Amino acid sequence: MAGADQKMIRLTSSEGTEFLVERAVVEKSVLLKNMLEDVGESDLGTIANLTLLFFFIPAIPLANVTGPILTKVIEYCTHHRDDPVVTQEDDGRKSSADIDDWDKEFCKVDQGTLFELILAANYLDIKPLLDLTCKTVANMIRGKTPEEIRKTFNIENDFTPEEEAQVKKENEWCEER
Amino acid sequence: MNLQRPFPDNVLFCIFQQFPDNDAGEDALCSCTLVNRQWFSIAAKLYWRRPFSSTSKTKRGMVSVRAFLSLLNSVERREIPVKLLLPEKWTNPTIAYPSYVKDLDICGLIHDVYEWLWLQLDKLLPKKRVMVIYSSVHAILKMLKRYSVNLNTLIIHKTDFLHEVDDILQVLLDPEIHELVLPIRSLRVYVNAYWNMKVATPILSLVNDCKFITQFSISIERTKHTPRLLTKFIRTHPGFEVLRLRLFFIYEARAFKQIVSTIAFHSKTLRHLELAWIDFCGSGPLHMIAACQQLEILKIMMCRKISAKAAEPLINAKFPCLKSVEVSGCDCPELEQWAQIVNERNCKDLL
Repeated sequence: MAGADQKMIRLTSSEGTEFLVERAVVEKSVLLKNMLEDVGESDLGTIANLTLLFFFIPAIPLANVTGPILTKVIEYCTHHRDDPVVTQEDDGRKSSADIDDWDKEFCKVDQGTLFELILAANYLDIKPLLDLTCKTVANMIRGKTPEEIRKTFNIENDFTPEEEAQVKKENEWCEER
Repeated sequence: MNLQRPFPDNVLFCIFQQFPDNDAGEDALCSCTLVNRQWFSIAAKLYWRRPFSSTSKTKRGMVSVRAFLSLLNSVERREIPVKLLLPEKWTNPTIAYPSYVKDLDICGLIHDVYEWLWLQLDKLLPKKRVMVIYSSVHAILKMLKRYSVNLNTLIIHKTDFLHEVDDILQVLLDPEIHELVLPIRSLRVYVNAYWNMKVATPILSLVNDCKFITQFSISIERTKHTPRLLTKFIRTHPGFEVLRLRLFFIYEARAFKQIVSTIAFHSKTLRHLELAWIDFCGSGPLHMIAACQQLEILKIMMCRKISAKAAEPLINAKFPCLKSVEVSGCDCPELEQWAQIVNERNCKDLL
């Protein structure tokens, strides 16, 4: 339970389930942080009485995030609430830092959940969660042929045979000197 | 598993960014280019971002050399002086691959051209051989310019794979090519072998002329001219935001002072400073680092002989923007303790 001086925020998932979350945790999401800053401190206030909070503070609706996924997102943000903000230097490849044990455990979910988590992290703009979940998918891709990737992710090959042959010729190495 | 809805482009890009920057990562990216049209359009951006690398396997470089030689126009093809077995011209490539190039590893390009041509080069005299590699590299760079490549990073990673690499590096001084590298923002120099004025001259010219450089990294193992040249590199171009110096124990105290004092030229702009493998013997107090009040990241690694007195100005400086300090393998307990305090303070501030 948060201390009396801890500001709480209400979030509503796509099915209407309400979550009461500490502001410091909610602010791991850049989308929600900006939203809260736009609304302003006075509109939110600091309400120690949680009953009053439910009556007077409107909840933030998250139409793109289901309850179970929002639960996972809150779990992640709570665990990483004290992590420093990491700034990205450029749009190139990331340095391949290892995934720590807690994060590894966190990502042990079925693949449908993993994909929903990626989309939620993207929508809520939580870069470290997006990086973590994307890294997990990247690890699933590594070592696979294009056909195996398509099969794993049930992706339709929309190249025409000619296009596919050309892309292959231009991007793949075959001894032809 | 089912991808119920395709990932948005930015999510796919983020997934592909997670592949390691090594051979396995390149292979994974290559596979992704062949999955479907959406994956191709995103993966190709990263796959062709750095087409050559001095440190990864030749296969990837061969894909790039073949593509770029295939994209030479008739004029560029004519530059190559002997009748070589060039790949057939691509008249209508799937995308304009060269336009995705952002980072150019020039020694990687030279190496891969050499590998591509080696069977044919073997029959040539050494002098002719250099000329052929030079003109092939020149033609490829000209082609990149024709595609209006907007280079972000130039990497000069000199190893001893080819004795004549110093001569071929002079291509960077060619006025036509010089224009291609002018917009770079980042210059990374790694010299793992003796370097000489032949290598230093194009680098110096780049530092002089590329006015947008904000990130400069240099890693040197052994050198005769280092102190004077490094001082020139760092002094010529004030305004670096990122500076990485890895000097592998240049132990002459006077030389060291000369190099490290130049950090002060960037004190107003420097956000990220890394010093590694430096002998601080006789350095005196590190006021020049303490003066960098915009510093966000400071790394001092594997450096020797930093006395408590030398570290004092650092420990007493305020550094209002400092987010993280890493001090390791330096044998200066005062500095290590300070780093710990700064990092703990930053964690508390976040709470």
